[in-house]
Amino acid sequence: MEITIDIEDTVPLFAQLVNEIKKAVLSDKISPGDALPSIRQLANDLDMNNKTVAKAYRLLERDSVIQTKGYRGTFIHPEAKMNSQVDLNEWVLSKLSETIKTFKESGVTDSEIRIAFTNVMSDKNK
Amino acid sequence: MQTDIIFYITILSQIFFLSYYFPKKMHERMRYVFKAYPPKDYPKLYPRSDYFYNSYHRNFRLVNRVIMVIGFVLIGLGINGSYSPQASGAELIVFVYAMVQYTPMIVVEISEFKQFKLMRDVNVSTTRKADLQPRRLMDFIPPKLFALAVIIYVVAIVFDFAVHDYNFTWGHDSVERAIILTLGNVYFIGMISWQMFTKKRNPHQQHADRIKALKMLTKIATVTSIMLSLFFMSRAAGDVIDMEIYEPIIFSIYFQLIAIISLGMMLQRRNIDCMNFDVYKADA
Repeated sequence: MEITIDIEDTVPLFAQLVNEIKKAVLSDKISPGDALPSIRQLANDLDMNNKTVAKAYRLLERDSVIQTKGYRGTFIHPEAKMNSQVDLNEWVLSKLSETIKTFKESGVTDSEIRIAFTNVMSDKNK
Repeated sequence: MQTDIIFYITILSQIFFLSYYFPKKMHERMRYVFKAYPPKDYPKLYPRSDYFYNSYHRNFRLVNRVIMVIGFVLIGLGINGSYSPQASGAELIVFVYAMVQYTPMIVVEISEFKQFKLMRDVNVSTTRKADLQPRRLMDFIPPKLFALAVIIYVVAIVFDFAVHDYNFTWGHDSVERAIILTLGNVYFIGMISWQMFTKKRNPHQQHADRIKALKMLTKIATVTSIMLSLFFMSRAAGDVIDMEIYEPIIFSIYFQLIAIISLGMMLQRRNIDCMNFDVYKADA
């Protein structure tokens, strides 16, 4: 199963990689239990930085689309097909939109929302 | 006298295979690709001018012919008594001449790096493709062939020490041969791993074609490893049954076998015809 990445695309490379692997799972081109190439192999084949592929793999693992089995390598998760349909970014966007709508309805200004959001994010990062 | 005749026949055979037959096959292959997949239809395959490729092919043929003539001169010198095939060190002449014979073919292989680099430099495609299939060393080597190579490697080392009364003294021939044989095999594994896991050198090569090339490379390396082990075994045997006068012949046969097996596999026409050349078209 071949995947294609466009280096000129506005979508970040790691996100393209995540999408391509999810697409492969959804179209049954790769099945649960199938082994995936190592980070190094994929990075070399796509002429990318190892860290970019590692980031994509981390996100896919978080979404339970893939699973790492130690030294044995990385494999497609048994629930990958179902989990590939879940788009966390979409979910975050809809939740945030709802929350911001509630704030605005209560009269909170845009700058107050931005400051509060920044504060919450920086508190989280501490 | 009989040994001399065998020696000259072997050298004639070496000249035939390494400076005529295989270079001719390689030249025919280069010309076939150039004619069947010409630059005007497959521009991505030719980052340099037509003139460059034509003169490159011509020079390759010319150099091999010159080397072939040198071989005949060496035979003439031997027959005239300038050197004796049975004298100690005669195998060095065979070794050096074989290296000279291999040089044009090695240069062709090395110039591929330059060719691929130029292909990468002019490649304007923004898309990159990769296969989601992991590559593992053992996927490319037939298990039986690999097992045979390992067994013969072990047997060669054990045999060498056995015929030398298990002399493990540092600097002894057996120890040196064991180290060289091991390093040779490490080199083969390293070369295959490098081809397998590093960046694709040909930017247009399809995954299927890359896999085929890797399979062929691993097969050639494994067979060469077996040949190397057998050659070292013959050297060890030569130490105890006084085969020194046959050493130049053994050297020559070894180099010919390496060429027959590796180049023979590599230069099969079907290897070209089953490759996807459409990737080199302008609109691909």
